[in-house]
Amino acid sequence: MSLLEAKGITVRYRGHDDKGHRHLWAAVDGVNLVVEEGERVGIVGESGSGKTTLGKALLGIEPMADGQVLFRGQNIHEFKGASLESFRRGAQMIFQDPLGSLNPRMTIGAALNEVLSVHRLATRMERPERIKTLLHQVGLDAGYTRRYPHEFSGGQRQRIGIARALALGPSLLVADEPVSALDVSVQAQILNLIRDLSEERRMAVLLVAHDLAVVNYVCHRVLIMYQGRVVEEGPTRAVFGRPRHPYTQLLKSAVPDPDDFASPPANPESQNGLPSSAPARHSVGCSFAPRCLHAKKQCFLEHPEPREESPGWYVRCHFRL
Amino acid sequence: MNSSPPILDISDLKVHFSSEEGVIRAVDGIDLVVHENETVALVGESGCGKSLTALALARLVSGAGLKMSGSIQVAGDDILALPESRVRALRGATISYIFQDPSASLNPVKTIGNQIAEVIRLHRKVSNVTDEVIRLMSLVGLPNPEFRRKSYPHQFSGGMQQRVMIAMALACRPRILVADEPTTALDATIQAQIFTLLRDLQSQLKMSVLLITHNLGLVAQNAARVYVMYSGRVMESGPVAEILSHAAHPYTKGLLAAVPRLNRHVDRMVGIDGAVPHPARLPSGCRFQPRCPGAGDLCRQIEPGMDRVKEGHEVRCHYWKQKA
Repeated sequence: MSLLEAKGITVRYRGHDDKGHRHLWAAVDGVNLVVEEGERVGIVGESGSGKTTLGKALLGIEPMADGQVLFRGQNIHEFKGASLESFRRGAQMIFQDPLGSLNPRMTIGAALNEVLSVHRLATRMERPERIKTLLHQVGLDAGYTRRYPHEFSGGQRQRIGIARALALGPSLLVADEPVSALDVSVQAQILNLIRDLSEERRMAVLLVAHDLAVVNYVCHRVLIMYQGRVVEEGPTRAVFGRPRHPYTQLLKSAVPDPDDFASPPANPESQNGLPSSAPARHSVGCSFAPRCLHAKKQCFLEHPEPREESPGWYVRCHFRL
Repeated sequence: MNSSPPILDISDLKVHFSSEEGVIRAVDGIDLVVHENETVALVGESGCGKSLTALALARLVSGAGLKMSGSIQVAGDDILALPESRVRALRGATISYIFQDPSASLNPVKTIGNQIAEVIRLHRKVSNVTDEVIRLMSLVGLPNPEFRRKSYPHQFSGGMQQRVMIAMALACRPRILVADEPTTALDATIQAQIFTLLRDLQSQLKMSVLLITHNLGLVAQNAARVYVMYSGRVMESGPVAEILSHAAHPYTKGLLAAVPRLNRHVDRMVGIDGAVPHPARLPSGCRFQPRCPGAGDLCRQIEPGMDRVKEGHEVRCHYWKQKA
C-alpha cells in the first residue's frame, strides 16, 4: 500500500473570464499522484500552475471539487475523531515564510510546547526535554527556547518550522517553497536538513518548488504542472536530463547556469508577439499549445492523454519530441 | 579587457548611518567601474549592501543619520558633490532604474500610456508624445501598443509590467541602466524573456548596465565583469568567466558551491555556516573570517586589502594563493 494515493484531484475556484462573466475554473484539474513511504516527490510549476493548491488539497485543507485522496489506503475525507487527529499528525506542512506561521508573541519553546500538548504527545514533565531534542535535530541551540520568532534569521525560522512539524513524527512532509525566501548559502543547509530527516525517519517529502535545481537535488521523482495539469512525470534525473514535454524543455532552458558563461542562449520564446505569461485557460486541446513551438492543429483540438515514455515516466503530449 | 572609458567610476564609496547601536556601515568603501556599453554584475546575499550601492549612484539614499563619502563619477560628474537640481536632471536621463517589483513602481490609477508619457514630457521635448509612447512600448515587446497604452497596471501580468518599467527607464536613453533584481519576482520563463529583451536593447541602444542580483546563473549569462560583495565590502572582482571558474575568495567559492545545479550532480551540497555580521557589530579583521573555513590568526587581526590575482581579477583575502 502506498503512503499517499491521489486520484483525479480537481479544485475549482470562482472567477471571471475575459468578458467579466462569472465562471468556475479548475486550479487543479484531474491530477493523479502516488507517494510511497520515504519517497521524495517534487511538484514543479510556475505561479498559477496549481502546485500549492494541489499540496493543500492532498492534506485535506483545500476543498476538492472532485477526486479522492487515500492516506495508507483510507480516504482522508472519511477520517473523524481519533483517526483524523492521527492523519493530522502524520501529514505535516511547512511554508515559504515561516514567520507567517509563527505566533510573534509566543517564544519558540512555547510554540513547540503547544504542539506537544495539543496532540498529547508528552507529559508536562517530558516536554522540555523533547523540545531540546527537537531543536537539536534541526540544528538549533537548545538555549533558544526563550527567544521570539523575530529574533531569528530566515534560515533559523525555517528550521523552527521544520522542528514543529517534526514534533508530530509525520510520515509525510509537504514543503511549499521552503527555501525560496532564503539566501543560497542558507538554502543548501535547509535542503540538506530536509533530505537527512527524510532518510533517517523514512519520512516522505512532497516538495513544491519553482526552482528545478532544488527539486533535482532533493527529489527522487518529479511532476511538472502547467495550468492545473501534470504535463510530465518521472524520475527526476531522467526528466531533467532530457525532458520530453515541450514545457519542461522550455523551463529547463530558462534556468541560467553558473557554469555556462560562454554566450547567452537564444530564448526559444521570442520576445515579440508571444504572450509573456500563461494565456487564458481554454477547455479544448492541450493547455500549453498556445505557447508551444511545436504545436500543430491537433494540439488545439484534442487534449493529449499521458503517454508512457519508459516505466514510470509519463508525458502528456501528442508528439514524441 | 574593455578599453572604452568608464561611464561610472565609484571610489571608496561609504554609506553609513549613525544609530543607537553605533555606526551602521552598510556600504563601507566600495570601488567599482562600469565602462561604456558594458554589463557589470554586483552580486551578494541579502544585507551585503548591493542595493544601497545601486541607490547611491543617483543619490537616492535617505534615512536618519545618513553619511555618504567617497566619489561617484557618472559621465564625468561627481554625483556626491553636485547640487540637488543637477542630480535630479541626471536621474532618468543619465541613470535609470528598474526594480524587483514593478507593481510597486507603477501608479495603479493611471494608464500605462500616461505613465510612460509623463517621463517623456519631464525630460524631453517631443512634439508627438503619443507616437513616442507607442514606439517605446513596441521597443520593449508590448503587443498592440495603440490599444494597450490605455490599460491600467493591474491589467498587465508581472512580466508585462516589468516591460513597462523598462520602457519608462529607457524613455530618455540613459547611459547607465541599473537593474536591481529585475526578475526575482517573475517566473523563470518570463525571466528568460526579460533578459533576452535587455540584452537586445543594450546592443541596440549602446548603454551600460549595472545588474544587481543574487543569482550567479544570471551573472554568467549576462555580465562581462562581476563584483562580489559581502558585508559592505567588495571581496572579489574580475571577468565573469574567470571568477566563476577560478574564484579566489573563500566566500565566492562558498557561494558557487551552495548553488544547486541542474546539469551537475553533487552528492551533498555545502552551505556557508553562520550568518552575515550585523553592520553595526562587524568582526575584527576580515569580515568573512567568522564564517571562513580557512581563517587563521592573521584574518582575525588584520583586514586584507585588495590583492591582484591577475590582470583585472582582484581579491580581498590573505590566503588566496594557498587554497585550492
